Amino acid sequence: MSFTKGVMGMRPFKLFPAAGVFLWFVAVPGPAYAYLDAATGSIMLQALLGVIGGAAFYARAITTKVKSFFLRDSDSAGEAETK
Amino acid sequence: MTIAIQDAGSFRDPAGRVYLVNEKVVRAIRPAAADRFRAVASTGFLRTLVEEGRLVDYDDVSSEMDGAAMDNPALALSHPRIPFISYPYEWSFALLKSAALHHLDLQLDALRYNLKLVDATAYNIQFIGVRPVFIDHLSFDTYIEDEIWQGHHQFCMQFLNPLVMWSKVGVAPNAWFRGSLEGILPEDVARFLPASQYFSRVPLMHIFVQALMQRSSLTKKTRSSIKSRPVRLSRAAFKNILVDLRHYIAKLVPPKDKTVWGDYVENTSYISNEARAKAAFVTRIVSSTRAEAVIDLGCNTGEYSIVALKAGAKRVIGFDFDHGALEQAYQRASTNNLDFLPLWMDAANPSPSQGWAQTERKGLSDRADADVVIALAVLHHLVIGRNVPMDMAIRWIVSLAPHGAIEFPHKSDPMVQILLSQRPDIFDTYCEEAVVASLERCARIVEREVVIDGRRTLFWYERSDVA
Repeated sequence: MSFTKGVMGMRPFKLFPAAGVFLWFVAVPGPAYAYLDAATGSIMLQALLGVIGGAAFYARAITTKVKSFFLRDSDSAGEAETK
Repeated sequence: MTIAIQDAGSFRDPAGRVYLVNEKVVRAIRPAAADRFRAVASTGFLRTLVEEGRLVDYDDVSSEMDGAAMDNPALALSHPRIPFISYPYEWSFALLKSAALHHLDLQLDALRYNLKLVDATAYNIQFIGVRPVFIDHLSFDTYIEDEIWQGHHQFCMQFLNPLVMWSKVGVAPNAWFRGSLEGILPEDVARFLPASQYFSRVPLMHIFVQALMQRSSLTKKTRSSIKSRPVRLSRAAFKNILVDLRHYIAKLVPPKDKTVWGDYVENTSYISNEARAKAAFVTRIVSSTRAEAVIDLGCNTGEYSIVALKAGAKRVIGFDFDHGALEQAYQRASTNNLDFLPLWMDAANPSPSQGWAQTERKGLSDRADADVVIALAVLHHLVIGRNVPMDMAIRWIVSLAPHGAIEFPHKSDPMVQILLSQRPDIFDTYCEEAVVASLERCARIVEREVVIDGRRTLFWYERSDVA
């Protein structure tokens, strides 16, 4: 799972959507409502982690597809030679 | 008619309540939650967990119970009794870490059965010896795809944050946790966690970013945006979070500070003959009273707790305020698979009755259910170290169990000399006669033995209310 490998280790294009969400959440000034549910931060974090996880999953899926395209190509070439 | 006493700590979940019925623990499940429980039980997951020793056993006793006594539940489950209920603020680092991993493993395995835990309260984990066991069967529910982790915030407050501040800052969270029963907020930990932790993914996301988001959520704009779009968390992302937390917590270690008493057994002024005399004394009390449950006050690394177990005690609950000693005691109990639970507590300030209506979390005296108490090398700390008058110190120790061993170190003892070295000796009544007089007021002295060249006296007492 690439998320377990780390946000810090991620390439910038993977982090980009996450950073967008992050900024959207953080850069909003306004009055404070201290009675808000203490778990709101947790929900917002999960939204962020969900996006990072989703982006990572998407990126991985593409990588796997590209890889398998070339690998299958060379595999079938190898098979053809042995036949 | 059956008399069912409701457990004061079980009321938050409307799905059910726990009662004590004729000394048996019974969980009453409300009609509204019955189908949910049946669906969970039908997956076979709960049974598997019981067989693996990770969940307390349960038996459907709906047909045998007098429902009226428990407000007519739809189902009733009976459970074996947990020998001693402990609270997270009494746990050592190793115990809290083990409970955290236990919770995450349950959640990860539950997902494979399409189940989830609806909360992440540390109070749902208890210890038998030092083995964690989950106690709330109604915390399980069917997992719905893409739903968020409801227990995330609670997990951070009650497991992650205390462990991180303990391991990375070197501050034990117990006293704070005891005052703040819901745990420790990410916003608070984020204020004093060293900046180096920004470079570690779990603290960065689950503490710093969560704290930042919580603070930003206090704005009106964010509040309305949170309301308008339901947050979704895919199963894969949920699993990633759990695995990530698990890897991180599994690697956490307690701070390496030198312990006060951790090397006490090695450093102490005793020679081993004296230790043997004390061990023989403890063995005599435990074996002749056929004690099952023993409390070891000032258990240190558990040396005499193990003596008590060898003498026939079924289980020992140890208390000490030194975390270094408790870590070693945990290692001993864990390595040798002993029914010995070493907990953090200051004898001069035991855990109080607190929480909702001051009954939700019971104080020590309401939970102490022991046959024998061992109080070796404790008395001088209470009387000289903390200015507790001799008679009050003795009366409190005697209140914990009908039999006990109390050690009285005389003023000539080097350990007492250390306590007295930096302060005037205002302790006129710190003498053996005072111990005898105090004991005789509430107990009968069964045996008295002088050890270590007359520098320490061991007393075996039997409390007066036991005929």
